[in-house]
This record gives sequence, structure tokens and C-alpha cells, in this order.
Amino acid sequence: MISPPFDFSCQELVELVTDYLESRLSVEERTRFELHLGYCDSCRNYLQQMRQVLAATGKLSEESIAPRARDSLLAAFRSWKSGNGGAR
Amino acid sequence: MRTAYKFLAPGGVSPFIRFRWPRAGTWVTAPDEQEESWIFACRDRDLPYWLERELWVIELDEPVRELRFQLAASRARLLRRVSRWDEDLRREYARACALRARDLVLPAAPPELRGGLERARGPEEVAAVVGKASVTSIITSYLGDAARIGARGDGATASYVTCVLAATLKGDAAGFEAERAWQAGWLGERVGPEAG
Repeated sequence: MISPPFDFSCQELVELVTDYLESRLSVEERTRFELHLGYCDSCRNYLQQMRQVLAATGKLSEESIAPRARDSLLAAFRSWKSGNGGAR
Repeated sequence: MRTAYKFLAPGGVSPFIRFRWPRAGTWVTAPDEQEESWIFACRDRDLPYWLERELWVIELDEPVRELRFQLAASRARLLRRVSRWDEDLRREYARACALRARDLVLPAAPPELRGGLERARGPEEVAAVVGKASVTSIITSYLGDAARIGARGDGATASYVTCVLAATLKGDAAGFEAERAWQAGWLGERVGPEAG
């Protein structure tokens, strides 16, 4: 397949989505990003999901997490950091 | 001042950053002086890259920056919606792109497909012909994709697949932009000249 040289791939777009949402892309990068969104429904959906995730997590504070859930998360992170398993 | 086109999602919303435009005639100023945050708009030749449900004529305040795929300005206002860009025309465009893909493939089509492709009057028939082929190639796969997508009225994707097909047939990316130029001509004949 011959792709136009100015077009981002889906993988490149995924890597840049946070920078896009935080307005950290150059004009050229933003253009390439949005050109891809113009025809790729999957990446449009991904962008929308990321936007929703950021909106939801932006409202979370340490106090808003139930103690049991917080302990469970901390245990998982400690286990992950020490290399004893956990989600990667 | 300069007029151009602006594609928006339903409700007058910028499709990616989700900015809701105020009513026509109201000036909008970019949030800061960084060019990355400016307002973008299309020349005629840019139209096929940015298709959305609504097409508007927009007025850009100077200075207007010419970019490869769009114009940019720090201040702009919508002037009027282009009524000709409606559901029927969007569907017609998707079908035209699919049939254009068929026309691009025809000179090099395998003999078993050529007659069926020549007789096909719409993208559904093109898709059916390609679907019955005993041997597939990257070219016929793109053609089948363009036909199926065009048949469901998705002009943005059908036009993109047709451009990739054109680049593949030509052997370099210049084929992609040449096909975009054909698409811009098709669109310009039907929606323009509304913007200068």
C-alpha cells in the first residue's frame, strides 16, 4: 500500500492523542492528526473515548476513592513495581 | 478579509475540538496567539480532505496564513451555510468516488472482471462484481472497499480509499493528490463558487 507521506497512521495517532487533547502539537502535526481523523472512524471513536476518560478522571480525587478500592490499587501497584506480577 | 469554506459537524460544531460556533455573523477569536490554536478553513482544493455534514462559508480576518491543506486565521465568523451540501449531495459524492475507483481500475482490470465492471451502474454492482472474483489483488481489494463504503454513503472514507487506490496504481504518492484534485473539482462544481 502506498500511503500519502503527510498522513499519520492509526498507531502514530494513538501515541499523540494526549498531546493533541492538551494542544501541544505543532500546526503541521495537528493537521496530519486531523487529516487522519477525517476518514478513520476507529480513531475518531478512540479520541472521543480518551476525551471522556480525561473528563471523568479529572473529577477524581484521592478522597473520592473508596478505602477498599484504594488499598487494592496500592497493593497492585506495589506488586507491579516489585516485579511480582500484576497487570502490565 | 477573505472568504473560505468551513466544514462542521451537525449543530455547527467543530468536529474534532468540539467547539460550538455562535450564530452566523458573530466573530470568534482564537484563544491565544499561537498559530496552533487559530481557526482553520478550506480553499476549494482542500474540500475533499475535510468532509463533514455541514458546509459553511466563513470569513477570515487578516492576516490569513496559507498552509498546505488549509488556511488559518486568528479571527473568523461564519457567514452562511451552503445549502447545496445536503444529504443527497453527500451520498452522490460517495457514489461518484466509488465509480471513479472503478474507472481507475478498468484499464488494468483482470479479464474476468472487466465486463462486469464496465456494466456496473452503481457502487453496489461494482462491489458485487469484485466479490465474485476468483482471484483478488490489492487493487481489487481497494476497489471493493471503495464500492462498499461508497454504497453506504460515506464519502470521506470512500474518497480516501479511492486516493490510496490511485496512488497504488500510479506507484507513488502523487497519485493520491491527483485524485484529491479530481475530487475537489467534483465538489467545487456542485457547491461553489460560494467562497473566494
